[in-house]
Amino acid sequence: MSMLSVNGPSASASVRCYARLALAGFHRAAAYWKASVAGLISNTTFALIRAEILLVAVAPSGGIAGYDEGRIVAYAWVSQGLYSVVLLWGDGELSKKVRTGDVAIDVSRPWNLQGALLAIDLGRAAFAVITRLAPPIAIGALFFSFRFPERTAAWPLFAVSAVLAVVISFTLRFILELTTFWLMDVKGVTQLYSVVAGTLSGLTIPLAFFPHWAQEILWLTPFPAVLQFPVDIFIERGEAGEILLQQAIWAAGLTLFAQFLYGRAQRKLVIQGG
Amino acid sequence: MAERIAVWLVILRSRIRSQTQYRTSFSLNLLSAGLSQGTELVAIVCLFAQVDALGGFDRSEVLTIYALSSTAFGICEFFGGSLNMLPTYIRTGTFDILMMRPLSVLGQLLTSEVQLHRAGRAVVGVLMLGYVVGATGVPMTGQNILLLLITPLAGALVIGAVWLVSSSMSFWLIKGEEVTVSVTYGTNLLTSYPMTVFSAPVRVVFSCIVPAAFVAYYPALALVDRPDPLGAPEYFAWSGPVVAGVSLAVAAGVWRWGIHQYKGVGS
Repeated sequence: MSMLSVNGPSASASVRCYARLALAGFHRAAAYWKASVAGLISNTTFALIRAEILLVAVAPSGGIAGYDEGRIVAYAWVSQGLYSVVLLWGDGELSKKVRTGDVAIDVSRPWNLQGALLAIDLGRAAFAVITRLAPPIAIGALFFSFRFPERTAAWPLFAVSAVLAVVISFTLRFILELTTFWLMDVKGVTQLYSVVAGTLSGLTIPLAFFPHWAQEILWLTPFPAVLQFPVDIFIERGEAGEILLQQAIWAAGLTLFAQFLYGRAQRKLVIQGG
Repeated sequence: MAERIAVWLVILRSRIRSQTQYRTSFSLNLLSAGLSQGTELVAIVCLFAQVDALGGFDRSEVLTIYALSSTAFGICEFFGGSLNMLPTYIRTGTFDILMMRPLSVLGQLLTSEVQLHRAGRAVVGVLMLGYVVGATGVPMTGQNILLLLITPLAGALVIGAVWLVSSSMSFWLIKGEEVTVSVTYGTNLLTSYPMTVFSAPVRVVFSCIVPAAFVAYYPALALVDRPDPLGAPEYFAWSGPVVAGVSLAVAAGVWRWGIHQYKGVGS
């Protein structure tokens, strides 16, 4: 089954289609706004506790690994908020559809499934920026010595980095869910992923606090690009250009790999009946 | 009575047997549970590679608090983890079925999802407890042994009471999961560190509403033989069971109130 058939939609029509899907993703997230409020309470609780623990470590020593008081506070609140934007692990909807066979309908639609789901996820992420990222930053700034970026340029750079982080996180989730085509029960694997992905991407403590050997291994994985990198750009730590380049390489490489895997998965799919 | 116990045993046995059928999934889940508790251990170890003290406490003292808290939370999650399913049961109407059966609703809820892999957290806690006691030379007096035995149990009951209250929120809120999660797992995080780490407002909120300091902090002070820098009396180390009793009584009241005014989701 080809995703781009000969008499398929024109380029501008398909751009419009994906834009509409993104909008639909935003609206769907907005429809569950009460869940967002509850989630925000959770983000705020953890950011608050995390900020105080890290602050009490950093404050007396005057700074750890380039983190001063303002930066560690910003790290705690931004990372907790961003965690819900990039969504390290979702509800495993695709995986469920593969198991039940419902995926056949999505696969036969005249779209690129990966592109369509990415568009929906970007829409969801945009809503999460408003409800899950902005409020924790505001609360952190209100009650703590929160450090905002000093250079104005850091804001657009942070936005680009966050978008790339969503793309990378989405693609990792997509790849993991695709494995359902080969292993019917991925619950154990996905649960393990959802547990370790947080710590490996810098949600528990800044990755710079890890021992050097662990950091060197982590830089070879996509995990820092999902959370730590955008946070680094926000707190102006490290070279922004270099960070964005690394994220772009991860986003492109993983996207291509996922497309390849998706192509293989489609060959596994047998649709019966008519 | 004997008949009732037999019913519960049959239910439990069937739940346990159903999970051991998928061995790979089971071991991966056990590993996940252990790792999710180990996350904070990684954080503590990494932080102490950078600093010598956290809120005036050294590495082994913080690890003692962490170990006690992990064991308590692990025991609680093992027996009470199914409470997380309450919002789902209420939303899908399964809860109405539980209420119609001639068995205790809470009992049915607690046994609805007995997940052996949840023992992973408690295992991490007990291992750490063994490590800190051995490595830091907590003297093995009769008093300390008794404290090491009752603290995780009393702590588990305190956390269980908190969990029950936050789960009862689902009787009033339709999408209450995340609130419950932040209260219970937030308590787990909070009780893993010395109270001196936290600012006064956070301490007040979390020790008045949730008696968090009794789970691990006060007993750990007695074990490492230190007075509380915040001035709490020494007998607080032994107050766990009393605090647990009071918390459970309050939680039971909230639970009954919730069930009493629960009208069902209708169908």
